[in-house]
Amino acid sequence: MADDQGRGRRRPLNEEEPSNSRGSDDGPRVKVFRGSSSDGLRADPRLESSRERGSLEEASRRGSGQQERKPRGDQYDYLNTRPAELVSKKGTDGVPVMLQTNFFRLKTKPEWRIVHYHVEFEPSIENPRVRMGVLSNHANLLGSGYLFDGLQLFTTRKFEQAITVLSGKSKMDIEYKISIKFVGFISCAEPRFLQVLNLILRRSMKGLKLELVGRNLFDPRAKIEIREFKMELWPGYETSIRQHEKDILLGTEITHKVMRTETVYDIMRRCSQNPARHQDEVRVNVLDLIVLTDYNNKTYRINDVDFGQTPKSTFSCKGRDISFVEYYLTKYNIRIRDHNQPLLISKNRDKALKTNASELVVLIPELCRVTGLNDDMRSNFQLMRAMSSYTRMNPKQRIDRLRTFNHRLQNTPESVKVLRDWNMDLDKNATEVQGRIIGQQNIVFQHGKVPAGENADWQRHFRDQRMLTTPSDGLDRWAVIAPQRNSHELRTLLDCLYRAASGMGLRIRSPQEFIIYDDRTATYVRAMDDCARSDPKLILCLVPNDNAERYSSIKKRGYVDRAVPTQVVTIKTTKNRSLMSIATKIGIQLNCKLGYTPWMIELPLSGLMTIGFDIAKSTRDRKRAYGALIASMDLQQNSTYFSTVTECSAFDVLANTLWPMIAKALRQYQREHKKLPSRIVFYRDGVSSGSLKQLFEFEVKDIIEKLKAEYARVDLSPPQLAYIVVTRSMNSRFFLNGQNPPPGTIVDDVITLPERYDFYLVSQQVRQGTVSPTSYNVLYSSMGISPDKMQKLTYKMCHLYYNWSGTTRVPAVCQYAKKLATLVGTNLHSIPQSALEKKFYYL
Amino acid sequence: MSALPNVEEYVICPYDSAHRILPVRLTYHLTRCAKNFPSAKLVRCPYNSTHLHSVANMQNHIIECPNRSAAERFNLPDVLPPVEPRAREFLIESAEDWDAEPPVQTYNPAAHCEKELIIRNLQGAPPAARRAFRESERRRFREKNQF
Repeated sequence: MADDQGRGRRRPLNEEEPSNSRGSDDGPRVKVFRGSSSDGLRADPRLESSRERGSLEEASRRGSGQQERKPRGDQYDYLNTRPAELVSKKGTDGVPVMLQTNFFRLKTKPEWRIVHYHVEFEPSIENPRVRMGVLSNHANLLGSGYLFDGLQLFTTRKFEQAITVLSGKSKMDIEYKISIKFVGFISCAEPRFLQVLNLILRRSMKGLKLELVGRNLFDPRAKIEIREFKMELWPGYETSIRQHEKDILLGTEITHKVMRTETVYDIMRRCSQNPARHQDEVRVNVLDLIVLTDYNNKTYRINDVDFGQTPKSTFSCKGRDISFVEYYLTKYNIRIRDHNQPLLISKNRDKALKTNASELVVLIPELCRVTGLNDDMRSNFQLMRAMSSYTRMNPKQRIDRLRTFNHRLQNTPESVKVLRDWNMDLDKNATEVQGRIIGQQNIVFQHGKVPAGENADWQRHFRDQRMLTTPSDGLDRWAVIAPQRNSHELRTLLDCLYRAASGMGLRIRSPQEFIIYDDRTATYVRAMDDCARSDPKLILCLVPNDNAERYSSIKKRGYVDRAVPTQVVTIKTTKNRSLMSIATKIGIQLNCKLGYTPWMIELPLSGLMTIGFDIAKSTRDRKRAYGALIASMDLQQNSTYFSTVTECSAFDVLANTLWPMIAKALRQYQREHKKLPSRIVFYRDGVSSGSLKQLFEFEVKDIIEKLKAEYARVDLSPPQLAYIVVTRSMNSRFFLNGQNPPPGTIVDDVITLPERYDFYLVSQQVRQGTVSPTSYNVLYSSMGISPDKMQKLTYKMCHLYYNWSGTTRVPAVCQYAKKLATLVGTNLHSIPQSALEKKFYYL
Repeated sequence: MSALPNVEEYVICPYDSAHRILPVRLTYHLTRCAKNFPSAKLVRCPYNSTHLHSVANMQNHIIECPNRSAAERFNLPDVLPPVEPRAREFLIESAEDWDAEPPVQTYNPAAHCEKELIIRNLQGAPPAARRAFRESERRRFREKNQF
């Protein structure tokens, strides 16, 4: 930083005009310690803001580096030389490929300013549609290109007066006065500009006769009927215009909305007519449904049914008592047919929090359309399969749909008109981006290294290779609990297990068998207590089906009350024809549960500890959640993982109790390697992108401080930390020649966000449908490795999930954390014993 | 769904006792409120980062912090993990060696944003700062476009 101050004058790096910059000599520039300032008149607030935003980055970056731009050699002649660390977030390693995305470039932006007005009606009208109708009567004054959403008006014309008053008559012959107040200009330098662009796009999409349901637009004319289940699938598009790396891009994604063709009224009619049971049945069927009301396009969750009221009952609205029938007639022009139906109550929680009042919304069943799937439907296998054949599209179908959408947008007269009015021009072809495919990683077994394979699947190597580490005595002291009538299946299972495991280097001796005589949960638990007395290393339970309660009890007994890893196998598995391959997988799981490792990858960094963190909600108590942290030891020498769980509140997005868990992990590392890790990579899952700033301020800064203090206590300099937020991205997709991109594909340009150090990685192989890439956002890094290596390291981390002999969507530590948190939240409901913390008991 | 918020469920902000916040929003509130009180030197409890106390009170708080039990249970566990035979020692060699390469500085996106015509959003700043930022951005774009 001191260097910059000394140099003072810095020429602007306007790439468009290299010759000009030589001449534009505006005097001493503002001393910005990062980046270059092309505006010497810039006031201090900007300096503050840039400092604030980047202050924690210990590496002060003065970058001008996106190598893909025109060569800047001539410009550096005048710059006083400083170590030219041209750093961009793009890596260079790997095979470059051209990928197609689901983004379209916005070719021209409306260059002129957009004027923003605030519109008020007197007397005020509630319904936005009526407002729009009234305002449209004055279209000649406003011009053809204007946007009005009921409250704010955007147009390109500026009226002379600050406040314009118009008068008009609505359809119901009431006189209105409209006052239009000037608020300000929106130039194309502000984020509000993007909001306006989104509104323009939405308006033009309406020209395609799409309907707004919730937040996205759907096409009711192309609906797919699934008549057997009384459902319709409406295809639609989820669009968003955002500022990406270089240009403003429109991202489109195909989504489907499940619309049940019945209203709540129909459901209530179907319930039994018996008055005694009618109310209860209605409640059971109707509670907790999400309904959509057509007239205002809002969704509500039903919390209660009020049998005491009917549409004829009155409520007070703005001082007078008005009945529901009248209210809907006057406000929305809807006639309610059945005046004797009960009413639905919905507690609008968000509004309630803001206004500190209980906002009960009363709904009419006739007007509420049911959306979404309930649990019955979800467990109905046929239904889900029928739906997924439409919703899960393979890449070619998806690309076709996107292209059709673009074509429609550019060719339907109504939509084209809107776009032309605003001078918006969309690209006809999807944006292409240059990506890279990282080479295959090597999987290390006990006596050899094999490449992972093109599809990142090394299942077939288990036949010849042995697991990396296994217990030296094998699995000698263990127990099996099985019902007596399944002893034959038990025999076959054990035989296959012995064979499969010995092929992989794990010697299994005969277990101590506990036969039980019925399959009740209590019997299993008692049997577990019995065999725990002989201190087995592992207990295997053979269960007749996957009853969740029994599973939970077994796991609870094993992990919370005692510290014994358990393996639950269902009878159905033992009857499977390909029992050998299943036995192989079980053998690997057993090895992991004992605390040993099946395979490892090559890691060129020493002294590294990888941490993954995720949160899962408790199914029993909605207010609680469990956060799990998994930390690896130094992977070059020791391939075990440390796990810990803590309870936190369900609402906390940011984890409060993160530091004690990290401290525990550090202590464990020290116990094993006799020193603290010199590098830490932290993969954080379970964060929404809106809270990134808070996350940085709260968690990241906290961790850095505490780490510094901790290391200072033993006289070490603080470790190099990289904090990466992992998001399973839903909206960005890319394709390679109409197919799914292979595992190891990296995209770090064009569709990434300019304010972040981020990249997309496709690490998994999918057989059905399109693959969704994962987005990694490096919030903080003092690691000193290039983006290249950061991406490669993350890809390597995806190979280490031992329950699957392939790569996973997120790094293995995150996947483990998710599995552990879900296990505790769904089955255990309390913290497992700390004696198990080095074993993969949750696998 | 949980009950609607009652008075008892609110938490009092450690920076300003007049602020009552829902526990859901506590972390967000703390990050914002801290900026308004730069002189209040409150440190975070190591067991739970929402517990903020002055340096003097921190010792007392640590003794009675409700989140302390988890850490203590780790240091003094009820049951020690059984002594296992140590796994086979190994050291995996890899083709590359990243330790040997010189450290590289990390990427700062701000530099790229300032140079190009990128629309940016100043998150988490008070409204006045945001307005000023918008002004300066507008000016920057205008300069750029005029060459």
